[in-house]
Amino acid sequence: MTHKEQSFISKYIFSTDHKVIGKQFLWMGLFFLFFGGFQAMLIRWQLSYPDLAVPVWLLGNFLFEGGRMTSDHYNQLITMHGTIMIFWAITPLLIGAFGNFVIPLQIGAPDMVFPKLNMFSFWTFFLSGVVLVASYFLPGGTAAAGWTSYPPLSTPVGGIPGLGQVFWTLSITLMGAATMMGAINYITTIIRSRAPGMGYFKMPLTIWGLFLTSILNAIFVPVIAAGLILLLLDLVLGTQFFITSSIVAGIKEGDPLLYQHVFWIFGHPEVYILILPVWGVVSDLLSVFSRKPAFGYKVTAICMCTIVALSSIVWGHHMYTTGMSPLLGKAFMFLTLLISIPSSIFFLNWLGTLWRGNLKFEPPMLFAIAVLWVFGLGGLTGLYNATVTSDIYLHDTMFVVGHFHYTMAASVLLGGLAAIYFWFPKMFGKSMNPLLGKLHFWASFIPLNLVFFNMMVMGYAGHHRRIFNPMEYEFLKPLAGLNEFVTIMAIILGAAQFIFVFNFIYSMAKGKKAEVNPWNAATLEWTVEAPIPHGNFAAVPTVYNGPHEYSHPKVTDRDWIAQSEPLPVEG
Amino acid sequence: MSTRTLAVQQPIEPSKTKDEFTSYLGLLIGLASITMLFVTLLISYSILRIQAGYWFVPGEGSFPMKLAIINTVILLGSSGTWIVASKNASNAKSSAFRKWTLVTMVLGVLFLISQIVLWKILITKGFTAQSSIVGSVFYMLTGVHGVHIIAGLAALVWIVVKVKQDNLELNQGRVKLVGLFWHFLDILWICLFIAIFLI
Repeated sequence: MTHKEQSFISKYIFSTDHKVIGKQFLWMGLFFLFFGGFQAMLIRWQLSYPDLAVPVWLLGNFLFEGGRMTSDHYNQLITMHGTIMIFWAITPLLIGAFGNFVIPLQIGAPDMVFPKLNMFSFWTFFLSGVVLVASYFLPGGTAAAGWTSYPPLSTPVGGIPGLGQVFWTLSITLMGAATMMGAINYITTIIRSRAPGMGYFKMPLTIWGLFLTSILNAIFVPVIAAGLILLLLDLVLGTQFFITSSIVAGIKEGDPLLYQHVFWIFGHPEVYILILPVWGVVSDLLSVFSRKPAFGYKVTAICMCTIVALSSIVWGHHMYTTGMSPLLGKAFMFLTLLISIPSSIFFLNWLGTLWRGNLKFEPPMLFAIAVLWVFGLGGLTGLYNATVTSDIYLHDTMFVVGHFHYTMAASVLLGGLAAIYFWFPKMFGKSMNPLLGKLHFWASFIPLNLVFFNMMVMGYAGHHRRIFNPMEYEFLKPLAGLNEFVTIMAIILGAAQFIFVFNFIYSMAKGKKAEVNPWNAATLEWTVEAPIPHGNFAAVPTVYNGPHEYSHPKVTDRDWIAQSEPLPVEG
Repeated sequence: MSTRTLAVQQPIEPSKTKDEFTSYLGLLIGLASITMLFVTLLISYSILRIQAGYWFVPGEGSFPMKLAIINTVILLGSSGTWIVASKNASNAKSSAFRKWTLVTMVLGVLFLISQIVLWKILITKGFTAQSSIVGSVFYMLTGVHGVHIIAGLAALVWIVVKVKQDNLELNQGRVKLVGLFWHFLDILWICLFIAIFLI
């Protein structure tokens, strides 16, 4: 071994090994996923039983005085649920954990090109999480202006007292810095460290997704950082960047709408930042478990690039109701609807991959197919939000909540779970129990759809997005039954995750030792045996084939050939 | 199926695969990010300014323009001294390199000090971050740039330490990276100077 023995701290805590850092992100992401999920249960409880105290099994008495949630608590819950799920659950799970773990392995690199920066990225991210959690212990509680933190609610004139918003702003800025460091690493690694023979169009689509995500991160995270710097100055220095139009000495002061523009210039690419890795993972998994090459591989990659380009010029569709010029609204609508063309193309490619495939319904495949369903629904309902005329009616209703939970929450959660089930054997060297995996799938997939679909139904009926007590409104009273149903389904969905937790922990401790290549996949990470040593490959692999060489006619003894194996010569 | 997989023997050393261009590319992506940060700040500034209806140069008639120009000259000078330092580096003159890097650092610190002096003068004249949106924009832009100058100074300290630890030969690539960052900060300041004081 060329490596000197490492101490526990340098091996597991301040490690520069991408696989260890990936696992660190995984633990942190899972922790916050359950944290944010628990908050969702509290929100649901309040929406369906506003007159009842939060029960003991939702920690009612522990969290709220007498178990009664106040409207301030509720505002903090919805703010932190959104913030945590987006920035501290999805981001570390898909980009942090699998980005780190998978990129060097799939491109045949020994590690990230900047291992120290990688470590620094994780610990900055960890610090951001600490600042965020610390805000729960502030006297005034956490931020409560919604995950978007629109001024004036998020500024001192908004009427929400306390330092919660300052902590929120600081933690997101730190998180952004960590993400930026990650992005620098991912982009440079993918450009510079691909194994010989691994052209851009021989990269697995997972890598394409992560690559494009990182590009968006590098460009657009600084945009929100700029907005947050201004917001922070408004909060602590008393400047007036976003505080509305008082006229001082003949000069009109700040502009709250400016924040919305800055936020969504970042915010819209952000939704693609979150979903692109999932698109990539799903494209690859469908191919592995259909035992067929990914249909239209190049077209899928190009479509993803097109969407990345379009995503940066459509932010205005979040702001149709801000009184923007109708002409501008139409332009944003047109550009937004353009995105449906590349999305539909790669969606059809996914169906093309499945078509006449030799489908193997292993847990990762079930979750990958589920992503097709939820993303399809989420994408279709997006058209209603993108169209000015329907959006003015649907704006700020539960319809929007249902829509973005389908695209972001459901797709990314199911995609993330697919990734966990798929790479678990490589990460931990053990197999997960497939039966429990399938049970987990059905126990998640069915209630998940019933929750988010009915949210859209309620939104169409006029249920506003951020109300504390729907029963106070005469026109929402007929929805009480539906609200209750959604809550019950949400609790079932939450409870079903314990199957996953059990399976995860049990398999890690006592699972069967995994084979080197349990799924018979062709990509490079399956050519090395877990536990993978620091440095990954015994020798730099040479790549001969594309990432999806399944059922190749020249390979006769099995239905796959690894990327690093030359095709047999016909003889 | 496992018969065809590679046996795990001597793992390859991760650090050997990094070359100069790789680090260069990483830094360029970082600089693109920082550029996006300042572009957003400048666009916000221009929108606020267009909407304000009336704008004035910080401190109005009594603005210490001379000091602002001296500042700019100091920072431009530091880029010049860095060019001398990096020339010495490529000629393998270690002590001259260290001397000129120190001069660059001193100029960088001087820039920060005179910025603070400028802030103090303006504050005593009643031009503060809270007094008007003009002040908010001025202190915000100069402040965020100042933080990046501190990062640049840290990079200069780092390269001096690195050269002392190893030798100059091993650090040629790093010298170039630090230089790129320092020149970038200089160009950034020129853009900000034009945006704040001249337009």
